Amino acid sequence: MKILTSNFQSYDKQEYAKSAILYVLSQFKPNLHKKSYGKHYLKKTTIDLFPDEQPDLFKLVSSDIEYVANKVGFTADWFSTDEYLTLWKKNFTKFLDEHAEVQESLDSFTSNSDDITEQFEIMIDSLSRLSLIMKISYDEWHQKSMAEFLDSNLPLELYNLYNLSYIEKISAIRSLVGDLMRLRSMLHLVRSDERKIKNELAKFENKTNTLSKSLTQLSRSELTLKFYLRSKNAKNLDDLFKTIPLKLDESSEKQFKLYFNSFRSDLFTFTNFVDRKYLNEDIVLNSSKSESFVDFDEKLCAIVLKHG
Amino acid sequence: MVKAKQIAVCIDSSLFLAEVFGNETQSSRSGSIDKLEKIFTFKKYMSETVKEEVENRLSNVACLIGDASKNFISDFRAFKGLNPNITLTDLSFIQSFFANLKKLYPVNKSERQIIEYIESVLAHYLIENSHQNKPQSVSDFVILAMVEFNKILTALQFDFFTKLGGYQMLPQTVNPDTCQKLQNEPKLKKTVQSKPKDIEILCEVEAFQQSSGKKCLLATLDHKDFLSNSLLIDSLIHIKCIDPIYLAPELS
Repeated sequence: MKILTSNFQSYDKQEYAKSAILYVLSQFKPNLHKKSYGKHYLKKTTIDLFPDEQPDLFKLVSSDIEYVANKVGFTADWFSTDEYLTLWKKNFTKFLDEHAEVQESLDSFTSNSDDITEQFEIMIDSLSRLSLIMKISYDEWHQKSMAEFLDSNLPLELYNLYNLSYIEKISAIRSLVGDLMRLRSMLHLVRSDERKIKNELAKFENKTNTLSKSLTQLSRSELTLKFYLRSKNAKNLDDLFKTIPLKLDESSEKQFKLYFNSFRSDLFTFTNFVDRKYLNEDIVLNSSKSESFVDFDEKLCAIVLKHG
Repeated sequence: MVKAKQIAVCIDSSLFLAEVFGNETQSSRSGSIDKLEKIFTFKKYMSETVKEEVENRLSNVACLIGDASKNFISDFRAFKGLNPNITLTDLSFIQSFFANLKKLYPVNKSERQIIEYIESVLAHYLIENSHQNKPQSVSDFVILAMVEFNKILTALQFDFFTKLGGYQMLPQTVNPDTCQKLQNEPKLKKTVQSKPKDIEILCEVEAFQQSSGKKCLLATLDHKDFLSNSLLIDSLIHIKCIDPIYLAPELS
């Protein structure tokens, strides 16, 4: 019998979209500068959204994978962080070739623009494009995920949580885009008052830092779990990137549970940070398209209630 | 009377289950706490044991659906062999597969009910998809059926997470003397034997009452173990078990 996962492409474009999102978020480090203008050297306060030194996407990925490989204690003669990164770059290039709009968006970060309006545009535009890719490719991702479940011996609950995590990430990014738009308007309103600018930036940072931190935390615990499962089943470097059948033996159960519980706990924390307004809109992605499944959820609820 | 600010409303598994998975009648009873929150100021708590109990039930149900649907899909694909598309005649396979599976579980058991629900949605789903203009391939059919199961369970997980977020967690700490008192009480013997987790929950609430200095109330829908023994439990460990619709006088 042909394995179901073989029908799917060999790289997860959604994973690359998520990495690009984390990269874009790492660019956001707003700060205030005093600049001199004109021949009288008048000092004016300007806002810069981006850090002085641009983050390096590949360094971020490399440090993540190094952390994860060390955490799960993975060693193989065919594995090294450098080789992993080479293949990651190859797949990422493929992802950018297929999504020229993302390439264009990421390139604009290198423009070193001092113009705050342009900086806001770059941030908002990149995040909107990336969350749109995730939204449009949701059905394809979900089918691939279910093919993996059917070919593997992992619990369905794990895939419930992967699904929820996917939808929540879209919501979080949409929520952040909304917040960025509001911040842009507010900064325009208070543009001549340094104290108020600082106040608005502090309020924004306070709100988004928590979201950004819990998104990074969730992404890392999900990556750890996925990497652990793939590394247990991989025979070569390619397998770490492919959708392949994942088998878990008894000796790995304890470690799997540890990573699974950590992922579930981070997902719970993240759910509670995500703006409910956006989440409720995006959870519609998860709604059934089939008449046959109508009422099935209510029947299950009744079972959970009495099942002891 | 203790002021509402000094009161901690703790809940047991029966109430949280009703809140997340209950039908209209059950959730309207559990919803009383939310309504009271708008009138009085108090904090809601849940012990780790309650959370784990509900989490385990949800996991078990997901596991049953995962196992049953996966076994069906594996046998169905083997049965179809090189035959690429699904047709209405495949219904007979569904019938015989589930007839064999159902024999393993007594009627009225929740496992049996879940299997019957899966059988029914798969049969309907096959009819729904075999009537399309373009016949559906077997691999598309099985993957899309699994997507539907996953969506439903994801929605339940989402409800569980969002409702859970409304509570503060109690530590899994107990006073051994309190546990001893409850375990030695002859009238609670049945609960001690059949639902030890319920005793654990009572002990955790009592330990929190001691450590926090707040007056703790245990809101519950469990008549058999908690509400019918409310006076006894109160006299033993000073925790009042109460139906949520009658909470208001305690908070005013």
